[in-house]
Amino acid sequence: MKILVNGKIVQIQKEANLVDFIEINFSSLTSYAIALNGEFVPKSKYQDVNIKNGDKIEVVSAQPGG
Amino acid sequence: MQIYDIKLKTKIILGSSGYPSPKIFLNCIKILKCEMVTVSIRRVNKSQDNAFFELIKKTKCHILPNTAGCLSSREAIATAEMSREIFETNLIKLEVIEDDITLKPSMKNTIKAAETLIKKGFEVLPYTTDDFKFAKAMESIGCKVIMPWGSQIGSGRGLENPEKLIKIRQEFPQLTLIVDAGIGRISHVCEAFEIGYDGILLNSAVSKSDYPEEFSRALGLSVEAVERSIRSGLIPKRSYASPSTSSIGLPFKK
Repeated sequence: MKILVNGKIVQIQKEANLVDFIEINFSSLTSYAIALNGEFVPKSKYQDVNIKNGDKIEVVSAQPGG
Repeated sequence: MQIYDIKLKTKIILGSSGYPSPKIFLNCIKILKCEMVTVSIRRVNKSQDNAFFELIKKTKCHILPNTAGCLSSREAIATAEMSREIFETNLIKLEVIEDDITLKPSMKNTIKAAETLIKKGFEVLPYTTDDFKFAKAMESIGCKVIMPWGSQIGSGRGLENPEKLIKIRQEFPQLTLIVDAGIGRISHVCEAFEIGYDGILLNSAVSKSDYPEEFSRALGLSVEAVERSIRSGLIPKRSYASPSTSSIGLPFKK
């Protein structure tokens, strides 16, 4: 299935929840947060959220800002 | 300066963007004895590390995440929630802009986002224009800190409408008021404090100066100078001249 990760199309081979998704794609990150289809998803819910075809995922981390 | 439950000894909140190096950023914090810094969140890439997060933790400053660049209340709410999870703070500098050109805050969308965020337990510091109605709306929904612009973000034009900022100060003596955006020169900082504002939030004026550490020294000195001058008691402004030399005994008079 195809999903959009940070604005780019990504192909996913099998069903995954958000824990699997992070482990596969962003394993080096320790500090991050996720929004799914425009809504914030708390870390405590990652295990329960299964990624579906067409989902839009934003993965963000701390950056400089004014 | 009171930021909700946090009492800061300093009057400067420093942005963390655009410094020539992390070391220079850390030096500026040290020079200013800064206790609160602003940060943002942005999309990560696969090779990204946690360097900035570790740098910010190293400052031991209070962290004030922003929602910079958000064009809708929905984006701002999700950004605030993601920031809270990353930085573990309820504080949020709420910016919801009308467009990418002027970066002017949207009154309608800022109010809408602030109402939801306050219900979700956030301590909201809204970035507003100098429009009294905008400030009034933020106060009425429960914001304890309001941050009107001096002028457009990054413009360095200072306080373009001091009379409007003074009106906000007069109407809300109980609120913490911080001039956010437009500060470019030390004289702008002095003017903001002289009209009674509690603090300044600035970034570009420091980080984009040729020598950020030297600008920080100047900034620290100016805050001390203007505070001392205010404590000493400023004379009121008058519409007409008032001679400082006595007219008693003036020669050549009849």
